Amino acid sequence: MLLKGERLGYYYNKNEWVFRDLDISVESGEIIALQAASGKGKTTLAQILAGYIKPTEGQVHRPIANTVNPVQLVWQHPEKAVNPKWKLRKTLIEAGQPDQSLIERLGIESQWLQRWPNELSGGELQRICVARALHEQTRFLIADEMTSMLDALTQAQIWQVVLEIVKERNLGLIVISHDKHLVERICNRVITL
Amino acid sequence: MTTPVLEARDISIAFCQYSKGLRQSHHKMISNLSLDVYEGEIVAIVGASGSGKSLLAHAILGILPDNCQVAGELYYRGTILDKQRLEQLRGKEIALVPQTVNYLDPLMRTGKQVALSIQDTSEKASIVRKLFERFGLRSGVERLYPFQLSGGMARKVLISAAIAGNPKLLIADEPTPGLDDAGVQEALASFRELAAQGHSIVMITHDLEAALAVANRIVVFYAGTTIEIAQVTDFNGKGERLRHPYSRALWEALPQNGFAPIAGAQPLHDQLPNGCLFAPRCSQKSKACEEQLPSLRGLRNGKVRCLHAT
Repeated sequence: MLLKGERLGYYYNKNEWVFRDLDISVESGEIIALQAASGKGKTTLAQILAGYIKPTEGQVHRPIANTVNPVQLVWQHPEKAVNPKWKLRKTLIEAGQPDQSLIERLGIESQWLQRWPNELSGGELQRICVARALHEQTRFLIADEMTSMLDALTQAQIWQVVLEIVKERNLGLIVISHDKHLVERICNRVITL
Repeated sequence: MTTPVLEARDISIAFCQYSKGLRQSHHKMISNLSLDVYEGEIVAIVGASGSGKSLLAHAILGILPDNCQVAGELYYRGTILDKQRLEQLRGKEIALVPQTVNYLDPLMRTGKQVALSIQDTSEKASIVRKLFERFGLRSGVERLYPFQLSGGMARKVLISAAIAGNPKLLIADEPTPGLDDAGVQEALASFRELAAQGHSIVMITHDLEAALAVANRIVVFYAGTTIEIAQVTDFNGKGERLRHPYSRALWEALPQNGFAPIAGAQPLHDQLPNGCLFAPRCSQKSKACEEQLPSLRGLRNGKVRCLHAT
């Protein structure tokens, strides 16, 4: 399966292009890193690939969606990616009940699910967001600075599980990260914007 | 050494919340935290998110919400830092690099916000431009509103705003995430430069690597308490010189080291274990560890809160 963007271009203000003529393709089973300086449009590209926003120019080819978007995005700030007025159980099952074994592997404790988002830490919330994104219909995962707000230990915990799942299910993974050691450790290929 | 610029003695922070109807619940977020920073020194407080690090920054600046209760004492240059003194000093001698872009005024152009703390009225624009240039923010960024900034640019604006007024004590709350490599280096270099000029910096971060790159001492924080105060040089090799098993696990979890996780998660602040806070995840725990929170004791030019540390 392929996730592909062709001649993508995007601007917020007319003719101030964030990027233009950008080609990107990722196959199932690949782990690629997306690197660029701040403000060069990494998050914008992630949102375009995941179908949250339309590119100003160009096209995105994504696997056909069933009930859930096959391209899932995990954001940098989990506290902004969950509904503050939902207890976390509802957030966790937003796209359907995830595998119990996945929940356990991510170290999500059942008592967290009875809490409101503002009662949990970023690391705890991010594990829930990862479980939500790893739906069975997910084919591509985009991790946009997924662990850059987390401590090294929580980072290692989450990545260990995500990398295992990516391998087991042969998912494509796009890693947006400023951490060159992390990128070196886990990615097959680096794309620089 | 002389008097520390900032000293925190036994700080505890609790906040009170309505849980159901009029029933209130109290959450102790930080307990018995002690810390000092001397002139020209950079101390980094490293801990997981949710360990209460930001609350500490807000306590030092006196900007905690009203439902928070702070116990313990803060001293600035040997004199107690009370509300009145704090109001005189903050924004001038004491400045904060806040954690998120939400602290910027959404309706004010960035250049104007950064200029707020500059005293010299004639030089404002050129000081702002110099700061921005240093962080690689192109000309014209001054005229942007916060919503037009990327995460990394916003961070650079926040740091510029904090150091624009040349503060004696800088509290930097998570100054690096979202910055590209060059941005991180520039931010850390600006901290080092400030420290070399005799300013003191408390850097609060989850990013051990950034902390090690810039700080003189590292305070390791877990579940709201200091568990170790170490010299930067203790983070080396397999972490043999570190005093606490959590610090060692943190060091070993870096991608360039073992990238090795340990199981479990930090306890929730309202469900802290009775004994050592790390005991549920610790491979070295004994019965005594689960009975009482070990006190912070001096060890090899640092401090540790562990019964088994040698």
